[in-house]
Amino acid sequence: MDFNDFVRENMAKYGSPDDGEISSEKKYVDMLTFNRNPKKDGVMSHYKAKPTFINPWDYEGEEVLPGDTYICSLSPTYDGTSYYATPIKKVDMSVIMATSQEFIKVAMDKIWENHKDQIMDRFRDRYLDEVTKNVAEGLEEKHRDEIDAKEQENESLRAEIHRLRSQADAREWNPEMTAESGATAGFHRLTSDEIVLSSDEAADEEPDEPVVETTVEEAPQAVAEPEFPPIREHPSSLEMKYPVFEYRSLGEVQRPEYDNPMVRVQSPVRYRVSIFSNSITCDSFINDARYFVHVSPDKRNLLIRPNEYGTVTCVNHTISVAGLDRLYSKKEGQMSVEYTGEYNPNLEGMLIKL
Amino acid sequence: MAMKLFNENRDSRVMVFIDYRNLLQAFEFDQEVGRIDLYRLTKILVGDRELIGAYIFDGMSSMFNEGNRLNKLHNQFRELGFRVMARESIVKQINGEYVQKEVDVALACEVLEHAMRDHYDIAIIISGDRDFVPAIQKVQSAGKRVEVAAFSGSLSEESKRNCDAYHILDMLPVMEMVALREES
Repeated sequence: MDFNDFVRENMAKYGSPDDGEISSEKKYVDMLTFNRNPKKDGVMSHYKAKPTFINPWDYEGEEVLPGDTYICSLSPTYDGTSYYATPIKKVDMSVIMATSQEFIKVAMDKIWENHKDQIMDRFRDRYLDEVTKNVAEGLEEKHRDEIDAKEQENESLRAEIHRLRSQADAREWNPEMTAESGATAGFHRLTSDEIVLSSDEAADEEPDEPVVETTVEEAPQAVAEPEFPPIREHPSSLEMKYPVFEYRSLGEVQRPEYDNPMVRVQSPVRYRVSIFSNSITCDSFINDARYFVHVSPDKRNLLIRPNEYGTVTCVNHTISVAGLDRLYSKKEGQMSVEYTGEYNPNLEGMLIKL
Repeated sequence: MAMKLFNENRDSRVMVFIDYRNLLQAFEFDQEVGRIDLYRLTKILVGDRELIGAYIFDGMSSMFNEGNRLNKLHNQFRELGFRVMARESIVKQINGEYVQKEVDVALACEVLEHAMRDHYDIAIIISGDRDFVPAIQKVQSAGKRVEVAAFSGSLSEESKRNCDAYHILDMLPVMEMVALREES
């Protein structure tokens, strides 16, 4: 059934704003959607590719707004370049739902035919979303096993990363590693002969600060999961955070509680340092390198830190610093005092306990 | 073996608040030997945690004609990355003594504001002044940790009791010694 015929047959049921009948002189009946007239006030539509305007002499009903769809009777203007439309019945959801399935089909076909572009623009995204969602759900269901396997693999990789990080953290506590970093950071790395170990002549030379022999725990051959070093008991929160400020004698074993076979504990690398009135000499100082020299306000900790912006330059393994004689007491006639420095990774330099 | 109450987290966001005058007044070091290095002090206190910002609070006064000198000092701090909050707030009391006003409250306000805006996880207040205790408690109520750093002679017992951790500055190597040539 043609749409015009269908509308003509059923128009009596819908009625019209004026007499409820369609005049036989009116040749066309169609459903139009009106849009805003870009050139002047009011609305307009198109019929057979020609501009169509509301017939002002033949319509006194409800105001037609942009976006409204009406069943209209149409008559050509006298010059044939456009059409006049007389709205008969507004088409909204209530009309569509109240009509027969046949009318819905015909109406939808007509809407599609006349307004395909607008409908496609409006519904494309929604349709694509719907299709995408359905496809995604289907694919997920289809590849569920594969996804589960990948997630499991991802979890195991995360665990591996965590394990490696733990291992790296544990290695930071390994004095052997810190000694290496100290060497690269501006100190010459001592050979085994040069290192002052508590078990050799250093202990005899420094009777005031007895040096206890360092215990070295050999790591087992089997590879085991590394562990974080346990936290030591200490009265001060500062000392918990900065274990360097532990006022024990230099020779004492560092972190003796870390009696953990998983973490290899060795004696820190130490340097022999001579402090004069205005200079500090150490074989490990690198010539032409620059250093910062810091001291604690209580004058008990002296820190020598290599840094490219340092204020003191090393010449002949010696750095010249003012006021050193105020930091320690020396006997009369004594030129210098011997100390043992120790590389401290937290402070990034050699720490000397005065 | 005692367990440490808090876990040190490298991702912890730290902000440092320095009461500069309080720090200097409590400081009894031989000035000829070295000068306090706030940059180094901040670095040591923050450790390997993430530093979000470091503030220095100081007072100024045109009465002493030290504006230029102080401005230079403040600008040096700024070049190092510190945020200097200087206030024209040194006044003369009836007894003739000059005191600094407003600075403590300014510091407390800044600590609180950043806590409420969740800009940090840990605040380090470098001052042992007891006046900061209410601010410390409020910041802790906002779910933040507060560490206090001061010289042993200026760290009040109340601050020590109320903070989450404290640092005694006496032991930190933060005095920068000068090269011999520079001194001469």
